[in-house]
Amino acid sequence: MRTAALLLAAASLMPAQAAKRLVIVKVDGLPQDVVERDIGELPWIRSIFVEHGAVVRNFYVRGISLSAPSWQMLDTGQHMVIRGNAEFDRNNPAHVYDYLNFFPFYVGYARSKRTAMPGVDVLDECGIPLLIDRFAPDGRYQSMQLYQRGVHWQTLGDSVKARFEKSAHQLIDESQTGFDLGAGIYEQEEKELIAALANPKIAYLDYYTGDFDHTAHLTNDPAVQLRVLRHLDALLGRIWTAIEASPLAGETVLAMVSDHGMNSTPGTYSQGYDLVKFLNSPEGGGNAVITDRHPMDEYKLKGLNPFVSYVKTGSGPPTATIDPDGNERAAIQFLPGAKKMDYFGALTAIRVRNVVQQGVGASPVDFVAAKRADGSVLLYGDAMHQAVLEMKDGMLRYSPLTGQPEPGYPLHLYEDGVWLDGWHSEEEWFEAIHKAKYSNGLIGLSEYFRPCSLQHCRETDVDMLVFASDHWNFNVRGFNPGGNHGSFLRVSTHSVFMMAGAGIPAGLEIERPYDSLSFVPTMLHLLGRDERDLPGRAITELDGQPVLSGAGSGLGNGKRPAARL
Amino acid sequence: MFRWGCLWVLAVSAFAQPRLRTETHNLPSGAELVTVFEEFPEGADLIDGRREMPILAVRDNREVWVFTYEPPSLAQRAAAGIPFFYRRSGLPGGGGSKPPKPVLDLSRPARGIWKNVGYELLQARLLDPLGIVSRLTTRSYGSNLGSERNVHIREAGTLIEDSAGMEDVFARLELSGRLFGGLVSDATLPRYYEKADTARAENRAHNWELLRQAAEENGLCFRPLELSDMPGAFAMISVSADDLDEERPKRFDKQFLHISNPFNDPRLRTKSGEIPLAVYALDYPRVPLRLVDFRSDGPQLNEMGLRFANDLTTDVLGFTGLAFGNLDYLALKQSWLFVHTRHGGTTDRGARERAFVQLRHALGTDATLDPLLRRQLMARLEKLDIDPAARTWQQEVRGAWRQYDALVGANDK
Repeated sequence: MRTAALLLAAASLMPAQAAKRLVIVKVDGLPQDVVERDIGELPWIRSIFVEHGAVVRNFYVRGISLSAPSWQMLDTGQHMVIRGNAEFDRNNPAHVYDYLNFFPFYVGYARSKRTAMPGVDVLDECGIPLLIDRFAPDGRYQSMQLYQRGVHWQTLGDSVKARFEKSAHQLIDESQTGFDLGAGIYEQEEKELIAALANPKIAYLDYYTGDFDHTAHLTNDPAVQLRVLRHLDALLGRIWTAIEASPLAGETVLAMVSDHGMNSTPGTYSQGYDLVKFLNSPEGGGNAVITDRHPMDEYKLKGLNPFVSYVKTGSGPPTATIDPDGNERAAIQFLPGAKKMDYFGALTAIRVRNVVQQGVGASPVDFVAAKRADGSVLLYGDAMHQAVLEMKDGMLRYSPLTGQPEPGYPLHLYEDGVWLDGWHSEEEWFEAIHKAKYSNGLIGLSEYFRPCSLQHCRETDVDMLVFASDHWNFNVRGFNPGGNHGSFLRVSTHSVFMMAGAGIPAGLEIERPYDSLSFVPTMLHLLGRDERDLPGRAITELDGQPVLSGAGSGLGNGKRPAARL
Repeated sequence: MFRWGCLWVLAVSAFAQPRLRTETHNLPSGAELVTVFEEFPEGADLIDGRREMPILAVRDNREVWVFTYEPPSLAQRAAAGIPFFYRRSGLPGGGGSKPPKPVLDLSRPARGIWKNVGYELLQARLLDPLGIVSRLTTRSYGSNLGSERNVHIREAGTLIEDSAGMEDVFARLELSGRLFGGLVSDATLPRYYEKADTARAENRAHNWELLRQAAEENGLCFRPLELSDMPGAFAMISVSADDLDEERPKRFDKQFLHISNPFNDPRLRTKSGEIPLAVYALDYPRVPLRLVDFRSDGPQLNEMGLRFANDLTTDVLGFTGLAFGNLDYLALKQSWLFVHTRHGGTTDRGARERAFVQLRHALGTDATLDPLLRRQLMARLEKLDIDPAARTWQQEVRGAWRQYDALVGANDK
């Protein structure tokens, strides 16, 4: 590790120059706050990124803090086209865009040679390229992920083979501790990535892991979460060591990025509320509701079917669709036949009887957002607290509809003292609000409800977004008591973006806020391949002179990098 | 609209630990005996005035004694061999003045495996073919004593699970209940510990939320029990007397609650205030395990039914092994278990017994619950036991001290 650190420090002293290779580690659901909390236990992350690389300390999801929309923006650098982990065609609700389900993709490939995940198909139809599309097919290595081109039969096959090609003793160990095929796939991908690093023709490599997200959904135990982070830390160490041994060692950028944060608080479980049942009930309009998974599928035989993307609850023809995936927000479409009623009032009036945790109230719904006829966005907290978000020529204005600026309105900007009167640019709002409880929620809403003329946007347009109160979620498929995301709460949107290598200044801590749209421009900028038509801005602080380890945040260990001594 | 009838605002402290202390004893032989004691908090019900109990001891980082387990006495062994005897005998354990034997040797974890394999072969090849009487007595004996041993060894494991430096001991104690667990290499122990600890945290959180939602949908109150020893591991469901008419649900769903509909129960009409209905273990895999039903006295018929079905098919009808004909039965049994478990059934006997012993231990060392409720719960729990070789909580604590004293006495000589 010491040798690697010395090489790392030497690399960080190199003059700024265009990198020739990108290695991107994509970590689903890793919050920046958790990395900062545990940085003392993560020696490789501290060494590679904090001490010898650059950390963007205020990097946020733009829009909804959900995997499919967020990775779409991170992987393309373009505005949000995919707005949920599942989307329904409102003209034909049986047509479901199920972006997270790998099974139909692999079976679809076997049957009809479909070669991309559903999200990539949608982007292709919309003419939106991925970052990897900038690289020749034989010049890139892509791991398994949401926006995946091509299938990895070989990886799957090799991972199974490697799992069982072991000594008798190792097999006995595994028979007692349990065979873990999922871990086998990750191990195989790591082997393939490290092997690909030896090939100088490969200019783009990535590695995706969903382990942290999966674990943090299930448990808020910080010790368990730290174990996952330690595995990630060790993985980064192995990748960095392989980079240093590769032919493009000095010209490789290693970046780590996450798609959203996670509202996971030690000592507080996240509580679920079933909006599907609510919409089925008389109070919720008695709707027949379509959703993408069986509610409580863990306890049903039909829940074993991995190909399910369309489930109807309630009697009669469908009158509503709901995508509750992501959990801190649900997207609802009302179809012909839906009962006309005050859904805003009904949803925000929901109360539960069991209040058993400090800081978790009786109201599962925080607020409801919906697009108005004039293109502005209504934010409905309750009858007395309604606000409107207006968007015009890149300017935003937030104002109360039902009274004077005072505490109690959605996004709680007045309480946080960050409300801006009148029209302001997105950048001004971003600077003002990103550290507030709801971080860049205002910009997120403007992104979500941004005018979009694409056919896909029209087909999948939703009528309202329902946001969960803090420590509440709308997961009906099963349970996520460990934590959730999907809302605009800062804890859910605050993500990770760190870089090192190829002349990136050492010990650089960037405080200026950036969001998902900055990721691709920054990667291209580092390669010297800037593209003007991308909507986001590249992180230009990286062009500055190398600085000593900031340590002002306490992230670094306060020591000078070894190579400077 | 529900009125806010169930306010139990508590911080979930699922990560607190039992209050353990270690004591190092330098033996005349030069060896070192490290004993882990559990301290009883102020307010706990003491037994013989003792403020703590020995849990386990490790000599020279090698041999491990577990004091929560006591070898059976002759009388207990005899009771364990009686077929269809689903009652606790109440007989004392066999830990006398003789020093106890270690339950495992960390330097030779595979020790004893071949003896156990031999016993399994003996059972299958010699004792089972002898007929019903042989099968009934020997299988009852093996099953009852084996289960008692495993559950109390793992009881100690649960207590030290979060203690720094005890991860390998925990893993070995857990693995000791498996036929080939002793073959697992030392290098794999950290991974085993991680998986077990992660599963516990995930189960607890999952069941906490599942039970809360089940209570919510059925108009009941959910109350996490923050017992001193195992906070966050148990929860209680109750109903407010005022709600019996006002909050009656349209349909009472007992899939996860495993209790009868309280809104139709005339016995509750005479009560007032908060009426406890049931207590659940949250560490059981996938679903909360109902341990105590306040409207039912004595052993759970469900538990006895599962035991009886197993004893009948295995011991009486002889559906054992992989002989032709038995495969049909095994396929049928596995299919039923799968479907039943999938729908929230609690079919894992070992996990059920473990949850029972954990709750009893947690109540025995608790000082947070209302003393009246605690004693009522303990009394009900003691009636549930259907293992002939099992002991009461008092017997367990006294047995732990007896074995500890005998061990230290022998080592001091």
